[in-house]
Amino acid sequence: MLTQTTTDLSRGVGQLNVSIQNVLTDPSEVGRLTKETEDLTLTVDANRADIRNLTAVVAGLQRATPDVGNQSDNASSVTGDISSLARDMQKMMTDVGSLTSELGNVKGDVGNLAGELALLNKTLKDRASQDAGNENGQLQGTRTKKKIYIDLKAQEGCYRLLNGTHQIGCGSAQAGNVGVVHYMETDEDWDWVLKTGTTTPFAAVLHSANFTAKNVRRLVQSGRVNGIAVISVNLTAPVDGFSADKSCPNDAYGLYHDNADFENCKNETWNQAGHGLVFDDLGMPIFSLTEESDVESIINKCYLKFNKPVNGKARPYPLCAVQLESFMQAAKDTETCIRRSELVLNLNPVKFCDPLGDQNIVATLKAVPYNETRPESSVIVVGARSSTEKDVMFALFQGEAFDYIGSSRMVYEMGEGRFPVSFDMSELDTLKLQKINLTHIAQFIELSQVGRRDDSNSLWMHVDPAVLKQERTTVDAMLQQLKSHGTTAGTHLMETPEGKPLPPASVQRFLMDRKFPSIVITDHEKQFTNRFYNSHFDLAKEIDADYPSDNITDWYNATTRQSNLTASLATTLARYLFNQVTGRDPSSSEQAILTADSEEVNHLYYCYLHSPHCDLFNTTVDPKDTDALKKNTKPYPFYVSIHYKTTELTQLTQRVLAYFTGKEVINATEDTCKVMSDDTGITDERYSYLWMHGPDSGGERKPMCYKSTVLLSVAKSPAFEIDDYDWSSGKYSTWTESVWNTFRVRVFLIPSKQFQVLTLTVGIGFLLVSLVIVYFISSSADVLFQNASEPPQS
Amino acid sequence: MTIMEFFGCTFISYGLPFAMFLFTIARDPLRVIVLIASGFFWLLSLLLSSLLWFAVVPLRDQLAFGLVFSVIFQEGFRFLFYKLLRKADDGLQKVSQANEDEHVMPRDISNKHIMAYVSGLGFGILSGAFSIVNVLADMAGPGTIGIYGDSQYFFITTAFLTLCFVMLHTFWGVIFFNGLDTKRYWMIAYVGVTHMLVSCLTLLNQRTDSRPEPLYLATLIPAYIVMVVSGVMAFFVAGGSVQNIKAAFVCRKGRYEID
Repeated sequence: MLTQTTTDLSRGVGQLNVSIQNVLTDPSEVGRLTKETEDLTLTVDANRADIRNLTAVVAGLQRATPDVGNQSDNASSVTGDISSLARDMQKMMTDVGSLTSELGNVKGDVGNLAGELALLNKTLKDRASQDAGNENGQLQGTRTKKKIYIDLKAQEGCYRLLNGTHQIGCGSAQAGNVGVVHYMETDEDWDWVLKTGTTTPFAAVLHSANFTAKNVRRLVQSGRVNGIAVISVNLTAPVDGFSADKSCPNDAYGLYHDNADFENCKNETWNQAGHGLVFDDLGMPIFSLTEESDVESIINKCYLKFNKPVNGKARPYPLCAVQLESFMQAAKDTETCIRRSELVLNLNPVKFCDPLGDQNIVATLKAVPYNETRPESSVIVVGARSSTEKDVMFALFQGEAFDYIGSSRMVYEMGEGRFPVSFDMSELDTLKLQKINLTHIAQFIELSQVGRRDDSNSLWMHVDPAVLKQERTTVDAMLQQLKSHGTTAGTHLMETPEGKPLPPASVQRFLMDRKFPSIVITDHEKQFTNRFYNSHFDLAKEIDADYPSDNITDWYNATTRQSNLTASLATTLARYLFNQVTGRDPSSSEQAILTADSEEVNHLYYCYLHSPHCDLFNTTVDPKDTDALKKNTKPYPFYVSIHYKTTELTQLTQRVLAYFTGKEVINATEDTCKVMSDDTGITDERYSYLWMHGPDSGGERKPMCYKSTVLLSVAKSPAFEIDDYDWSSGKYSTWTESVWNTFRVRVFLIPSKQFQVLTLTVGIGFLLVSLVIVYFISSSADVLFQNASEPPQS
Repeated sequence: MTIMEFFGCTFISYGLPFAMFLFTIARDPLRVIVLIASGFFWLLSLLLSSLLWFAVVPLRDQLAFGLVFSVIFQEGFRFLFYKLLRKADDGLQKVSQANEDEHVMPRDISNKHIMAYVSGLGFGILSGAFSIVNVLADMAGPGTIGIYGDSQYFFITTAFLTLCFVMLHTFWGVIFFNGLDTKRYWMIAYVGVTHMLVSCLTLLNQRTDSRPEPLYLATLIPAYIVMVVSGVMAFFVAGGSVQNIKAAFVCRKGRYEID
């Protein structure tokens, strides 16, 4: 069995980032967008050509991909079992290759997040109508508040994360941070805010191109700035690249921690664009302004009108200020926060933070039942060995950017004998999947970042020096096999020089426990070619996965340079795995089957990076979720998020993987689409069953049931499972995300101190004088009104 | 941030009414009851005004329409409250007598201006509350008004105007009740006309397309003039005179000497 933990191609490709907009969960935003979708509007904002802003209506798109089902029938008739095996692999690889490359982001994300000042999208409140009402001066019947504040729609902001020893990210005071708005355009503006301006504290408004670690740190360290807003409407990346992750990502939790030769990137600084901004505790709020109307409000209605210095002099009060509110409940570190959350003080315990986590997605080629022995070293098969049956396991690890959450949990589960499912041998009346332990793994091929190849178009195969020393023969054979299949499939694979360490990779967590042959495939030999590692600038255009045509309806069925490259890589891996499983090279007819379709790969890129409302997702989604999907036009965020929430992307990826690797159950209904008992009454729980919306045929979709080996496996750091875990031990990821209530940005005027003091003084004066006068009148009322019963004299 | 503005405006608008309540109303339960009752009548007039505003859909955007009828309703309910108060005289008298056999008429009943003053203040406090509380509620927060081009004097103008109306209602109460008691109906007409006049002047505070800046002073100055005139009139109606004012200073001294 070949287990190929093909993991994580992670981040691959440079990806698209895709910010962290969690739009699916947001009903009001969804409502707003729906209307556009229903009107079949193609909203391509010419000014915002980046992917997030595209509202593609894919309803009319035809799925031109060859029918995979027919293909497989032909295949099996030609080559029998092996072919169908190969066919499965091919399909799997097709996707996994490309899927994982995008999913890279899943693991990435540090960037997107907290650090990079992570932009997270919570409920967008649709206040547009209110704002409109305020425009014309006809304000009767509205609250005074409406005349004082312009509420911005911005809901993406940096928040606070905590690990075992520190807190990082952003947060405002409980009532929000208020600062005088200053738009940072020229050097004079920087001078003004950092040194000469007198109207402190400021709130700096930056264009995304100026949002660099250096600039942010200057602002924070000046002590004169209370908050930062970043204009991200036309997302322009800083010229020098931008990565909020460290220059040596995940080092402390990887294989080379405490390794004298390689620790701390001594040999190679992988992420040279990384300045570790995400790991700063900035202590102030940072928001991202993604709406044109917000930028209009803060720049035109506020800054230019009231604040912009004239001839180097500050304008008179009232000045325009912005309030950035993102108060974070958690503080100090994960240990403190967990302890506080566990205090039982009353019947409504308060939670201050949530562990990061999601679900790893795992699919095995074979469903080895619990009552069959899984031979040692059988899960990834070595090419030279031609034992009959090998298994391949595909795995997508989640939360890897946060100190390897997904992979460390899988290794932990394997060590505990619970992977992929836990069962008790004594009470087995159902058929379960046999366990996989570390000793079962024969080889491990990891796809890391593969999207931004250098000019020679090469991909690089990295091998850990210790592994190479111990398993030289096997690894050499693997490298040669991969290279030769790469040559025929059109992928140029190169070896890195011997003795170089692995780049940041999930396999490091496995190798920490056991050394087995393993290869990490990346697009870089030395430092990352991706200058936007784990950042929101990591977009489709960076990896040539964007489209030249302006006509959105053409995009889904197009092919891009990236989809061709990824398809070729998928083909290479499929043929390599065929070889590893069967012990022979595929024949030419098998090779034809073992060829990934570039257009199908593009479908994946489109769905993940451009618009989730695409045919592939609509085909595989649960019919119950179709409305939610329809309302979503922005790509789903790749942020791992908190552990009890299985992200939309994970759910969809699980379904897509099941769709490509599983089989349709004929004549199933929604009720029967579940684990079934066979004739002997034994329930077969080795497979999972998913009820899908079905392919589009003439505007109608007929739901279908898919049976596959795809399963989800918890990706939550073991640190939260182990009793009395030592939070500062550095063994497992300890990241948690703070709880918060509101993300709010509003713009308004603030009066001068003098005016306020004057108002207060007048008020107090009135009160005191009134008290004296009324006391006098009241005490002498008898005298003053002594003619009361007589007619007045006037 | 603007918490100072908040307290400043609160003191401006409610400093004087607070002092009046403290020294003239609070110590006497009967006056407190009448104050609350008259406030309730003012609320009824507000209810009626809002029902009308709600019912006449096409004129909802026309502030002047609601305003005119609101003034009419307020004066109508002032009249109703007068009627009620006169009917309740006997009862009130009983309530305020400590003993059954006490035959001295309490001053609050014998001097009809006192209850007129109390009910006027009740009207004023409630109407003042309704004109400024919603503004005060939004004032505490970090911002002040003006991002949409509104005048930064909006808050302070609101505070002064509120004060003006509280005092006006008090004076109008005294004049109106006395007019009915003495059947001098021109006094009632004076109250109705000045109320309508001052209320309509506040329409100038509105910003319209043709008038981007509100005319705060054009409202405030006439309103305060009317307030002073009404105050003087009420003072004389209630039995005051220039002589008395002088006497008050003198007497005061004398009393202390006697004591």
